[in-house]
Amino acid sequence: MNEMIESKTNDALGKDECSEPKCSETETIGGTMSNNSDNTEQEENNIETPKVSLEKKGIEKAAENGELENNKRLIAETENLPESENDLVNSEDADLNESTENAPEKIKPLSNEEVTEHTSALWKYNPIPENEPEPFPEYLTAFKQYPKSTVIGARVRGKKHKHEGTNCDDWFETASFEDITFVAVSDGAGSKKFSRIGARASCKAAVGYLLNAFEELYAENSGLRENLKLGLSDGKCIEVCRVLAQKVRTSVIKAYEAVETAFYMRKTDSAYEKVVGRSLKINDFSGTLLIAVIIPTGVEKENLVISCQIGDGAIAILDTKGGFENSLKLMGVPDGGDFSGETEFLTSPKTRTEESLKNRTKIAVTSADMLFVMTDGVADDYFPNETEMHRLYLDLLINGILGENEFSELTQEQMKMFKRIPDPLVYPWVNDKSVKVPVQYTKRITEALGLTLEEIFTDRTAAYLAGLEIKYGEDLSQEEKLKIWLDNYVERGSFDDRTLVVVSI
Amino acid sequence: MSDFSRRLPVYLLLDCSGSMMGEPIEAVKQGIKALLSELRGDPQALETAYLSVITFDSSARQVTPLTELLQFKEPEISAGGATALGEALNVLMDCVETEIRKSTETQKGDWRPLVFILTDGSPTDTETFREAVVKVRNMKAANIIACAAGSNANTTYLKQITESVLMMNSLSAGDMAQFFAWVSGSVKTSSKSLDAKPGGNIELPPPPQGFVVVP
Repeated sequence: MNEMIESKTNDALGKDECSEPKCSETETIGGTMSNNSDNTEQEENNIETPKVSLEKKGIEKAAENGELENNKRLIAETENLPESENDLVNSEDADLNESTENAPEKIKPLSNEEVTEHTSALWKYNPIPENEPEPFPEYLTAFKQYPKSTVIGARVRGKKHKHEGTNCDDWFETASFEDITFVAVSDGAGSKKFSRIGARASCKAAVGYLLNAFEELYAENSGLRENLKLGLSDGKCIEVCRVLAQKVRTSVIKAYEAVETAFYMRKTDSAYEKVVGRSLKINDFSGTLLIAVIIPTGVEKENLVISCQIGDGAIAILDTKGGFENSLKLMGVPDGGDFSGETEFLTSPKTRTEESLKNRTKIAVTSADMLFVMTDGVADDYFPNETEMHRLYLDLLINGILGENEFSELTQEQMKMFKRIPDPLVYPWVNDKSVKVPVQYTKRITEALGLTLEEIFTDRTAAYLAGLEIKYGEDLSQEEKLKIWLDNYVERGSFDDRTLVVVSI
Repeated sequence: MSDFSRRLPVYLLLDCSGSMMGEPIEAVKQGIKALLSELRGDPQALETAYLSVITFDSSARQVTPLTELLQFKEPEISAGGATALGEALNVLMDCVETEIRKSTETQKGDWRPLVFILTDGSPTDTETFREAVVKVRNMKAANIIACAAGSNANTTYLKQITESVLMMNSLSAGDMAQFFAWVSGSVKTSSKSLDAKPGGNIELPPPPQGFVVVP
């Protein structure tokens, strides 16, 4: 009992997990790629990974070129970053003058990479405003070793919010009761000034309620676990699922009530009114809500997953150990596709009807070993989610966030493949342009090697090889690495807050 | 996986009729330059906005297809002739039809286009205009903002195209510059507020001083 209470206060509230913005961050990145202006040294540090293989690559390349070309390339890359918009614009104009005289529609379009390389110098970093009530931390990270699962989670302020000096609107919470894991993620509506407060309130309330509800339920009903073992073909098991799913739905209602309470508590406070320039409305606290509960069924490696999703983002379960086919299951359908212009939020009454909640609640019995919960800041970069979630897993793998690299020595064949793998893309960190963070992208690797996503997922050699070049620092924790990756991977047109919770089960 | 990112298409429909000759058309050219330079400094606009120019005089044509901001080259434009606004709307609808990517299972569709119409007169192709207006309104595929420039501009026609009609008092370089500054502000705002779902209406910044929103 004591244990439970402890886990509640620590986990459901989870505040101790919020790393304070500035200091820890600089330390983190500084530790890996020292924050000084000597780029050469930084790049060399990055490239040292892992000694065996890189030496080999280095030696082979050195044989061709008489030196370690790899180092040169990375440095050249950072030097070539456009200093100002004019550089690129002018050079483009020059190109155009030649090529477009007769056929203006035949301009070779810029690649997304060319555009993001250009914009990377233009993104500004502005801290969270201090004169607004309840500033939220720049970063959140979490690492939880639960009895039957390991959770790593991170949330970063999007480039848009950094550029404009506004708060991050995402939040997440995780908790466990005995062998059961709870995750809640929320993305506050971008257009609403206090959506972050609603996002936090809803996550905390949902997870808090689930903890209590499951504890009570399991205390009252000792047959629960036994019945769950029977499998979905058994009526008793289905009844258990029904009861548990009802608790998940109720947690959504509790989350809404918490948002309402948060709203009423601030309604008469002039500090909040001042920010929006009128009296507050409940919609100022709008956000999405994604809930996932993972319950071991008692059968070896089998879990019951119950989820409920309101608004966009994604909940996905992935079996990384089995084959490609049927290894992915999306546990929610984002709203908004059919009715253009309408995003569903927790604060919209029609999302909270019993029928709506029933439609949004998904139940699966699965032997998958991984569950992802994310806001649309990440989910949109893996579109369509039905086929691209494997790529998310692989991106986590090759950037050293998940899994260990399995090579101590490379075979001749692996060496050949390694040489064909493109170097990581290196962009300046938005918060401090002198810090350059290398990120490897699965899609660049599959393109370079002519592999399909299925091929690189099934035989992960290429992914592991690509991971050899990425290292954010040996002493960094997984959640710190996740944070750095979320903060630095670049997709054109992707500048939203990013939250990703990864549960290994 | 689709390599396309979601674009914010921006169409400028510019009146190049005879009455625009001289200072006004020069001011339009300056305006486009200023618009580009402004947007090219904004990373969000650069990553999302695409620009196209359609001009109309006695006829209408797309002088610049929907183009990446970094690759956009200011079109050669000159003034002379009548005001084929109706034909311009037809050209616009053709362009939207062929250039805008729709959402599919494997591809994120473009954001709803932003269309800015600038005219200093009334359509001379009234028959075409009447038919085009019906189609434009039915299509609902774009956020259209029309700006009537100077005292000869007829807002009644523009009101048939869209609810959002602005009036600027003169065709002076100053007013024109303000108009284009406002367009760039609108594009920036739109590329920022893209968490509204595709198809959603976009809130634009308040029009510049001296501009009147036509009720």
